Amino acid sequence: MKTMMQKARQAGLAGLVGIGLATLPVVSQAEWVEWVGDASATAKYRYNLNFSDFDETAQEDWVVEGRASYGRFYQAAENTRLGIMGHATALVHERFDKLNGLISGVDLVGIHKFGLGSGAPVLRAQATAENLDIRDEMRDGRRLAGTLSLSKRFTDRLDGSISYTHSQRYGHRGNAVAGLGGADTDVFNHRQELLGLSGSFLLTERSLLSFGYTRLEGEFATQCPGAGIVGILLLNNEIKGAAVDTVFDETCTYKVEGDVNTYEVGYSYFLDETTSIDLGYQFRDGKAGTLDYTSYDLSAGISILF
Amino acid sequence: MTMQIRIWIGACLSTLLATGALAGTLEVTVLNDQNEPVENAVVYLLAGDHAKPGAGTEVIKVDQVEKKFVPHVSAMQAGSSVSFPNFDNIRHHVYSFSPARKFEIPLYEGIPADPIQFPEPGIVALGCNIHDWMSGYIFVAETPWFAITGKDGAARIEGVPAGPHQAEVWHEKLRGKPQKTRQQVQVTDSGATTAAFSIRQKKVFSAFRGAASRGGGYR
Repeated sequence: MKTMMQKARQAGLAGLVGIGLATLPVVSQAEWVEWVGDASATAKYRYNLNFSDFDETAQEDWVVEGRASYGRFYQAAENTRLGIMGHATALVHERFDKLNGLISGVDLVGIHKFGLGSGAPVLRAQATAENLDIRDEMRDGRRLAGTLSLSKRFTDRLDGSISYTHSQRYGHRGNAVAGLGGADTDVFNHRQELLGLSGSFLLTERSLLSFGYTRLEGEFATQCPGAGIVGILLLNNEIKGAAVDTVFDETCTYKVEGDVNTYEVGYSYFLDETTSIDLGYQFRDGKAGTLDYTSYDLSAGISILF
Repeated sequence: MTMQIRIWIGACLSTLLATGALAGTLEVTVLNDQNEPVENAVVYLLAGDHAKPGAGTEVIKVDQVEKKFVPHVSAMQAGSSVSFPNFDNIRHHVYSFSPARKFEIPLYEGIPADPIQFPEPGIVALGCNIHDWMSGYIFVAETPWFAITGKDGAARIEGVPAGPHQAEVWHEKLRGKPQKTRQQVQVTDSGATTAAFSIRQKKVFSAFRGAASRGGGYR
């Protein structure tokens, strides 16, 4: 029986073909039409940012995140546009400064609107390639991702979207953990599939409540204080790799395959047409074999559209 | 009275009306139920025994500037036309689903060749298929006697034939139908007649541009 992710992957492929076909009858005045951009600055409190299985070793930190994107759209057909965007995110941590870095990349976007009016469904396909330049070398790397989303405004106040993402992260190899010499050290090579549901509801003309759920299936990294337990888990084939982690006090980071459910809720208040104050809460519940961990982020920031 | 005298009197009355000699002014204020002035409300007179005008012939403009319809609310008499000049350096796709006038001007820049005529009275809501947050309204009145309130909630209708008229108010946030605001006004040809309207407003959730963009739209 096909899994939900397999079905999502097939739907994604069908969507990409759909956008391609919709773009074929190109309008005679097809041209570059619009520059778009946005920027945000966000302060986050992150609890268990090391995704530790053990509460006593869960780490917390404050992070300031500055993000910007800018790009241009090409109107390919009456209801279809293509875009190219550049994006960059700078990360500054208060305690774990080896996690500071710059993530930058390019997005290729195809958008098709099924009809006329604000209630018409919108299909969006996006390919992302980005470079992760993190102070901790093991976390450096590249990431490639493809996302397909379908969104719709149901009423003047309520909209929703569903999305599927396939992501592949390529990290650097780390140093082997003493006593676990045979284990792979590519703990930041991750293959992930994500299925997302999100929506937003206008509370007033200026304030927006947003909510989302994402299910991740695939590989991710977690961290623990000692090699002993990792060795046991390796024997049980629950861990796919382990390496010394110099970010969190010379401990061990290991790669697992499992799933993470992320729940989020946000509130935005618009100071004017393009600038908003944003508050957010995100809770993650990860499971991989016998491992089980939770983490959350609280955030406050300001966003502006260009 | 002979037929010739009747024709003569009719001709004189028509001439007086046409030159405005028997016309008056109506000054109106529109407040909401919080006693605050209501901007962009359309005050208009209905056609009646004293007011049977012909069709409108003017051409008004609704611009697109910085991804907004300017003005946000326009008013004109049925029969008139609207030109939609695009002053942005991007293309817009203007449309209306309103029963009073459905139309679509697909992706365009500059000034469309032909203005759109609005033969029927009613309210026409405007949108842009590219920028979902853009909204505007055209109020199509059945008579030439209408005005749009300013920030102070005041409007002035000039050249109104003296006599009794039915006046109504429409606003994009009006709760209920405009008929519920109807009141009779007695316009005289000496000095301005005043009238005050108090309307109830509903919450209209036309998203701010930023909020609309968050919803995964066509931006």
